[in-house]
Amino acid sequence: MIGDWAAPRPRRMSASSASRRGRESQLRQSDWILTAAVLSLSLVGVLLVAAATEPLNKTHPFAVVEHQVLFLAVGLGLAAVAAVADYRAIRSSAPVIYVLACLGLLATFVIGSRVAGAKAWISIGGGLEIQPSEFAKLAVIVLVAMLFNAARQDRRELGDLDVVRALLLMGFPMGLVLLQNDLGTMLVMVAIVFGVLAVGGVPSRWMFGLSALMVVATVVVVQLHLLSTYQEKRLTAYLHPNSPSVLKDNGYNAHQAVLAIGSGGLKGTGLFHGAQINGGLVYAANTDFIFATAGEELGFLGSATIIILLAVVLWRGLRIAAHAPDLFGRVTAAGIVCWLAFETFENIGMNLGIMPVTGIPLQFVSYGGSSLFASMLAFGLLQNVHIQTQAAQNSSGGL
Amino acid sequence: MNDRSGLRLVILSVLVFSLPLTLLGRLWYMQALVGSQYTAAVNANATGEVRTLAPRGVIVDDAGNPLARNDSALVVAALSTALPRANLGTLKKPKPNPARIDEMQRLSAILGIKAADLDAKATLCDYFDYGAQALTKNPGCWTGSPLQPIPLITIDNSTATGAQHATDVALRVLEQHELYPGITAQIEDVRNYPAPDGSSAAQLIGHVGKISQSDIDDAKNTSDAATLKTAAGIGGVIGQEGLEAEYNSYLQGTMGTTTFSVTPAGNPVSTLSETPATPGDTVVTSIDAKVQKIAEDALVDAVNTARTKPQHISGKSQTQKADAAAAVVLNLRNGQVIAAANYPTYSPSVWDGAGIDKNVYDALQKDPGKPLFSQAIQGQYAPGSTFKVVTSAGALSLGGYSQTGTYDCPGTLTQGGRTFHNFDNEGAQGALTFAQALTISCDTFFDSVGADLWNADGGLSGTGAREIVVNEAKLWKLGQPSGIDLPIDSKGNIESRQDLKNYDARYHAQWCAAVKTDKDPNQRAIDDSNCRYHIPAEYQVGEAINVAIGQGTTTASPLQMAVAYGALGNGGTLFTPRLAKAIVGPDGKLVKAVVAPSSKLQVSSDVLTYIQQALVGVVTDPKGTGAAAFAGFPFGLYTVAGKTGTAEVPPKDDTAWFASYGGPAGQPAQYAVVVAISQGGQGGITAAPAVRQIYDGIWGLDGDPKNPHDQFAAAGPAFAGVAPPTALPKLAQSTSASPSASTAPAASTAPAASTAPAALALPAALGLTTDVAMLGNLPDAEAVAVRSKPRAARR
Repeated sequence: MIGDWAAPRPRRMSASSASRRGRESQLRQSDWILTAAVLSLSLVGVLLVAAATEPLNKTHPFAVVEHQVLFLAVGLGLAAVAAVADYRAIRSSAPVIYVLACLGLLATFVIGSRVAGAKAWISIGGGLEIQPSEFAKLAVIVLVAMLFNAARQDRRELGDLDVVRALLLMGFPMGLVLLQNDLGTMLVMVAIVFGVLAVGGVPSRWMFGLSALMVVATVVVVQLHLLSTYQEKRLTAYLHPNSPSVLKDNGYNAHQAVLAIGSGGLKGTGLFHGAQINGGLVYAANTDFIFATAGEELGFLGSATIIILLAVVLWRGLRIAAHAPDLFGRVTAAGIVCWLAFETFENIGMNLGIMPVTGIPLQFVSYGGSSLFASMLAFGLLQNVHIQTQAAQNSSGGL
Repeated sequence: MNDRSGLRLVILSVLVFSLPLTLLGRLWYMQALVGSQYTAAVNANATGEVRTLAPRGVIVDDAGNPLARNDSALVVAALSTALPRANLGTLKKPKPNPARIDEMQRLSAILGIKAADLDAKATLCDYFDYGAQALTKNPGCWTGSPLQPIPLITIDNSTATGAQHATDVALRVLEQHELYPGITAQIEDVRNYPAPDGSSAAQLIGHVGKISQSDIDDAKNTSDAATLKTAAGIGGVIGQEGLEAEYNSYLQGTMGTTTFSVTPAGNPVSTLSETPATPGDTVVTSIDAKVQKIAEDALVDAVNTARTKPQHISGKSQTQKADAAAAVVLNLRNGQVIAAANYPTYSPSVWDGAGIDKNVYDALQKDPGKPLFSQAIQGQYAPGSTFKVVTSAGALSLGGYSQTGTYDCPGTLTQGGRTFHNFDNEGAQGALTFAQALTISCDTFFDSVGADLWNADGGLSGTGAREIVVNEAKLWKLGQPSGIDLPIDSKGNIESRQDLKNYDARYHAQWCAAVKTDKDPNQRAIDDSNCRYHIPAEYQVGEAINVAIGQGTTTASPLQMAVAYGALGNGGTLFTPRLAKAIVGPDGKLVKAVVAPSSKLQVSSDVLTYIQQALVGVVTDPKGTGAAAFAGFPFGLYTVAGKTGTAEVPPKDDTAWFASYGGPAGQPAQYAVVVAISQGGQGGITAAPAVRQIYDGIWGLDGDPKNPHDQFAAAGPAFAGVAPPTALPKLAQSTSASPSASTAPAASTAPAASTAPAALALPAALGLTTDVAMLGNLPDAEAVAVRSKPRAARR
């Protein structure tokens, strides 16, 4: 039944009824464990968004969660499209996606709005905003995957030139993200870079060299105070969580989130019953700090389940990468896994007080259109690669 | 695909799975291993308190009539966290909020206070951004808790117009509360002094006032200071004078506490706990409003008589200035004060409500009769001949005089170069006993006693002086504080040889120097006399004579004389007088019985009996100085004994005294009644009739047929049981109403305040019996709190 997840919406998938049946059969070949995990996470997310926002708005208690349900519907549609889109078409349109994403990032400098220190959002009317950097991550992954795949198609090992070209192409949107002051997304992209370069099979000297460069860069940035004030404050808050000035200001929220999670205990207070959440003490309890809502109201049992579901997504992603029919599929899947793994770790880590506070959401769970759409697209791409693998195996004699 | 990629994928997998494992470990640690620590931290974390004032206890007279009680007023207050934010911009680039400006202007139109002033009052002091400068950055800002409603205006609704205004304001603010977010209208207590039976007793009751910084500084300990500071922040009051101040700790009750969970911005979210306020205790006093009124009226009559009827004094017939007067009625069975009247006085109701009107206060302060000052307790007057009782007791006990012996009462007596006359040059009365001398109040008789004792003490130098009169006065608690249960007291002045020596030593050089420089001949004469006679090494005989007849520097308060005459009347028990009889809790149970401390007067009973008989003669013997005032008094039913006093205090007119005690015939004396009239002339003419009028009032007798006020037979005795009540009065049951009724139902779950119940409850709210506390737009907290507040008895 879970395999039929996109069945009620066939019309959204394609205008052509002729190709509809073929694509429905493709969906049946999708990784249903992955789908089940993503759907479970999304539904838990809807519940948590409701629990985090209902107590704080007496007049329209479910306004926020209604939005999230809408976002989820749209997101699943996007996932379905990404899953069944033509594999080669995606591969060949990677440069277009990349250019569009970079244009989106550039647009934030002209018409962007500032949220919590980072100027990373574009208002698209109706009170809705999109965050181009969410899509830029995806764009970078498919572009590099395409480049490396092309090199492999030429039956040659990746050379220094390929690496430099990939670094430059990835460096451009990363630079833009950094200019937006969005350190969190920037770090995620660094993780992606490592993932795609590694799995792409670049020479090992590059991997060691880049690792060394990262260490040096981190030291330099911290020593020379190259971070912006708000970033430094957040870092200070992370390093000294209990100093009074930190509690009063930046560390306050992280502190309250930690208290919320810790007080949840094994079983939690039950949804809609968390004192910290209902008291409005945890800021952004429906977005970046939604894990605190889970921690307090669902306890260890609920929040550990979320981590395990996310781990399932990673497992299936890595499995898809391992079995991918070509380097494009493998690099794409590995890049997505790196992205999800790092973002998930950073987000839940900051909720648990073991990572500095950066403004990144929890994939599939947090409230918000852009992140949900981007992660659903990524989920769709994983399925696309999976379906491609199945097709290749079928054509070569089945499993 | 090459092996390198596959190997790297394996490494990547290991790295990737290590991340959720790390998170799970951390999560297990936080929630399963040390979760309880976080729970404790959460509970300590996000709460805020709102304190509610306790209804102040009432003060009642001996029949339960309220002397001080609580009335209700409408208080319009702002809850800063629910008001529209003042600044929509940043600290550096402020941007006023039009919604708030509009609201303040609407409110200004209703309340009649400038919108800017309202805004300033409703603004929290920003200590976070400005630190110590917060008060200057936002003048008038609220220093209290952000959770506490900030009182903007108090509308007294005890008057018809006030009630109408209060209703209008409450209706508008509560019915259209969408126009007034964050504004509440609530019924609160204000103090009320109903002056039962037309009595004043203003100097005894005192009043409450806003808690000042000095009140906080004066607090006995830090916890009291903190309580006062909190109460001050929410408009609490403190007793500032009189019984209100003396028994403030009992009257004030205990504030209630409501604990909310709050958001970081301080917005209350839900009620965690609520401890209702405990109303203050009732102070039952021994003041009897009826007797107090009788005494106050008697003083008015006495003053009017002195001012209108000429008296024959110093060869001239003249009226007296009579600028101030006092009367004290003391219960000799228990030392309780039944009445302490003042002239001039004023209605304690000027202190009603939130505070006294400035013009009224200024007028009271400028009044030459000093109505704010208690003549009865603080007034220090030369006791004149009333002091002869003390001189007699000393002389008869220790001075070698005998009760049966007779001593000369010449027309004049010359001692130490000065000639002392008998009062009003009455001439020589021959040889008299002490009893006879007391009855007719022969001055030269006691002048001689004073001079003889001075000689016995060694005259000017006074080595080994026994100072019998001075020491006797101390036995009678003169020259020392009365110890009454009020913040005010006085000790009077009884001057010993050493006292005067110290005084003279201090000023003698100045006097002698001033003789040469004085321009005013009168002043020069005084300084010359002082330079000549006030030689530190010498104690002039005139000083001793002045002490013996209660003049010169000798002073006492009417209350002190009442205590002294009381001890004479009741056979030797000296009381430390008390106004309070008992403290009764809000539940009607006795908290504390107040007993007047007493001691034994160290004078032998035969001397007391001797003087008692002499004082009966003062009012019954035709030659007695008080006999005229007591003409026609039913001595068969009631025994009264007393002593007149006419103290010469030049350049002022004489101070008129009558100190007495009396009771039903055949019983020990029940009351001491003392009247003193500053510049009232002769004690027998001015003060004694006032004392009689008070006795007539107490016992329900018709007195002086020419005084229409001295007719009490129709009204009957002041005390229902003839004697003052020994049991506590029945207090109105409502003083013990359960304060827990104030707990708002379903406080934690009720959504935003609903208008309808508040509006429906309004007529009752502004009525007399039920108080309704109406919370306006308190976000997410309780809607309407209905409470039946403890109230004072109204009679």
